[in-house]
Amino acid sequence: MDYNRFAKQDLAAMLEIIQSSIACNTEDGVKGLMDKTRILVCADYSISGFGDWRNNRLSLIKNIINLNYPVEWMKIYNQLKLYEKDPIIWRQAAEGGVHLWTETYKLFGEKTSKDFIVRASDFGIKHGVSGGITSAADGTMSIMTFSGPKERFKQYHRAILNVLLPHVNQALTRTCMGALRERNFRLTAREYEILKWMKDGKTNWEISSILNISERTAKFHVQNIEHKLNAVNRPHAVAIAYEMGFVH
Amino acid sequence: MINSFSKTEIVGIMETIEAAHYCANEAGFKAVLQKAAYLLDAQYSVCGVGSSNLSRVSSVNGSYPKEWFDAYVAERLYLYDPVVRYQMNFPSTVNWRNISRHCADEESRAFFARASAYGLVNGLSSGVYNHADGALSIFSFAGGSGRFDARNKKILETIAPHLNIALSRLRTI
Repeated sequence: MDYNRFAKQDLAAMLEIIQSSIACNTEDGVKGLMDKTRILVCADYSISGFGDWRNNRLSLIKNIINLNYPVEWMKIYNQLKLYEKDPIIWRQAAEGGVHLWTETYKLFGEKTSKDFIVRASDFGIKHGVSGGITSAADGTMSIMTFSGPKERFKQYHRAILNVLLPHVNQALTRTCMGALRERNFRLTAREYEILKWMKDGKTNWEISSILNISERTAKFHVQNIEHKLNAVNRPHAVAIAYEMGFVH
Repeated sequence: MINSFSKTEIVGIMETIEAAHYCANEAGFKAVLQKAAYLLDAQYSVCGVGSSNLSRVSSVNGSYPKEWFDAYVAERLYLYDPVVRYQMNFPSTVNWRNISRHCADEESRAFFARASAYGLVNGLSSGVYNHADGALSIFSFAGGSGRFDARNKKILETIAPHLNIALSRLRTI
């Protein structure tokens, strides 16, 4: 990728999104990434989700994270299973990568997609750029879509999404698959408080002085935190807490 | 923080992140380390990953002097390396100068003296904990201009998580 083609402020915004993607594992976090990306690619609307893709057939769209797609349109889209007719979805499932809608419509033949395009454009969804990753191994596909009523999506915007897609997709996968959430991380209010001081590099003695408890009690809480987070030691516990968004 | 980088720096960071994201084997990862070294204006690069008690350690030599790297592995010098000891307790991005100030004991001084014979005097290291298995990854860059100012530190802070993701991926292949 030739990064020199991008304006400096766009590059800085892209790097910020990439950095935010690393630890992102919540729906709000993903929405934040989508919104920043939406602004960068000059789109009005954005939505992302996962689908089951087996035997060249898309059977279900699930784990949808809707930033601001019109709810009415999404209702119709799901009720009528329009994803089975959506050329954008079909191309993403078949090829992955990042594509401008205008190119996809041409590829599939505008006649085939006409009905779909007309329906969508009634809701202001006419042009856009979409990216996704298809995994044949586990039969899933992810898709991230940025759209709007006006044709302002250019190769430049496609290139931006091409850079961001792998990173935002990892955050989306992490959030939607929710593997981490299945672990039992219930901490008490006191443990959260102690975790905050652990993050700041305080020793057990320092924590005990700050919270006016005995050093032994502080040690007890720290051990409980390590145990609950399945951490092998103190820095590991802090690393997990960062990952889970318990500390910032 | 990102806005304080120049366009050239951001381009270099993005290229390094991309290389890290797509590298698929040890040779590819070495190239990533060398790219990062160039970005940091460093001559030497290396990384290691160890279990929480350092009973299991593996490393990838980007461009450290071979003789020193071989001795380091054969003699398990990571057990005495003040940078490793520091990172075990406070995983972060640090300038070696700050570590040597805090490690005035005989063992640390002897270690730094031995490393300096190979041109490893000034350097930057970044330690990243892996939440999945508790392993600690350390990425070190040394030599070159030897300045390693706050700007270099910020750049390493930015790319280290990506180097770690790439390294973790290679460990599972």
